Amino acid sequence: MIVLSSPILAQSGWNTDPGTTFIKVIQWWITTNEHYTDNGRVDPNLTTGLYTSSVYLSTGLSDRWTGMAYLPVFSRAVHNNLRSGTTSELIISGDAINHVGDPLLGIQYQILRSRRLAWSSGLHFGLPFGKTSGGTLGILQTGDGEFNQLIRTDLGYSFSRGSRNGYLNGYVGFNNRTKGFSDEIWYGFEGGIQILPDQLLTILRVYGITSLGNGAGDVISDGSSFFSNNSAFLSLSSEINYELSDGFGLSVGVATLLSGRLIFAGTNYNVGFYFRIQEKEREN
Amino acid sequence: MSHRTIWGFVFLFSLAACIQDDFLDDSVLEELRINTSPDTFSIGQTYQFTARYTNRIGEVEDRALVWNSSATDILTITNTGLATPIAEGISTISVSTTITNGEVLTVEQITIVQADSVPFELMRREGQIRTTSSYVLEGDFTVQEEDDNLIVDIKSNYRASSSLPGLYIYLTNNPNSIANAYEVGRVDVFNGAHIYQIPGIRLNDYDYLLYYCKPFNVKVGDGQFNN
Repeated sequence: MIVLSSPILAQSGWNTDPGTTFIKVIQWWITTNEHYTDNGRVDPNLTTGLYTSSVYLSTGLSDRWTGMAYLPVFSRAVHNNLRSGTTSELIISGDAINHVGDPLLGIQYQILRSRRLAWSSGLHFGLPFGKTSGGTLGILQTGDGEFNQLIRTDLGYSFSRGSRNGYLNGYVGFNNRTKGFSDEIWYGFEGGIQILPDQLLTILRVYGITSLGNGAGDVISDGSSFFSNNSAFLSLSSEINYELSDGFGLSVGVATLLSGRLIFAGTNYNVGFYFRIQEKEREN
Repeated sequence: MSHRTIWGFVFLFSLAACIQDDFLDDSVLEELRINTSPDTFSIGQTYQFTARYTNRIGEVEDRALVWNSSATDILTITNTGLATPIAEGISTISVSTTITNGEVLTVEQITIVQADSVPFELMRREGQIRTTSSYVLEGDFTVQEEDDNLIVDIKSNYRASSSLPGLYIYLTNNPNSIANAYEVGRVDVFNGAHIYQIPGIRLNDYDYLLYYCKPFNVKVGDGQFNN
């Protein structure tokens, strides 16, 4: 599964109501000429980009079960030309590949739901559908080529301030990776509050991945650092969701790394739209 | 929202993913060097000196060279660099060429002529690998010819970060760039002594080892040949 410094999984303590399907179409991208090294410092690199168009959906299967899918239907990895600053001659030709990314399929179970608190756990499978070696030099990737299993538990708390609703959510997860990649601990905390009741929601997230470093020593990838073994990061992101009409809205987000290891540095962005489909609407 | 709108949305942002240009600061000083040669000769023992000019991006170029001996009564040298020791003593060999800005670049080598026979020693170059990044990379090395191979002998004090994906080693005359460099191969030893055996490369073809990370397309470290 891809290690993106952006939340690709919108699991929270709350399940999706039965008969409701939430769909979000997201364009996520990063372009950067820096990366975090193995000792956490920032070094330069040739400008590299990853652009992913994805669909995220969650559907309420029952009172307690929610099905989830993250589907990166189009992913483009690209690096710039490298030219001599002295003669302008081409040293390394720019390159790009277009492919699908690694999808994530999962299911979530609502363990507890009270007026304020919600606790759920989920199991997710990262499928190696992305390309692990592409382009002329074979260094471009849209996936890491390994099948992984992520188990994650979320605890949420909702609150109200006058007419505004808000929530807090924290999670921790264990990601079991295959093909010699190190397993990972996922963690995060976020808070959201409605700036305009039922219309404008702002979210602030801090989340990260820590590698357990228990992978095989011979896993040496030639690919880009979006998919390196033993990558780790701590990220800060904010997101604004604006509900244009009942069940349809726009979403804009930005994220940056507070620290990292073997991962591209820089700011990443996402824009998208979302909509909710109720069972009654489908019947109509 | 229609499918056309959705795919239009995807297409719009995909346009942002265009390939552009990065520029590398790869300028180096023009250099003229007398290729590694013995410094002691015996009378009558001729020797073909050679020299190499590299331009401001480290590319080898053919240039008109002028050879001279400071003491032609001790050692003579032709316009092609063929030296003939005549009498005991010391002479300074020099070679010159005109560089891009019109200046004349000259390098010299002191040579000793003695009466006794002097066997040429096996010539060897050496240097130290150093990191130019945040990744660990260090160690000593020597370079010498053996049969038709160039042997790069990395010493036991070598160590490199194994975390770096896609680390490759090159021979180059420009430590800032892999343009015009010779790709030796992928690095798969990260600690201790090891050897690279490179066919068809001569001792004086290159002046640097260059360690380069392909996935990041960035230099990680280098090692200049000190002699």
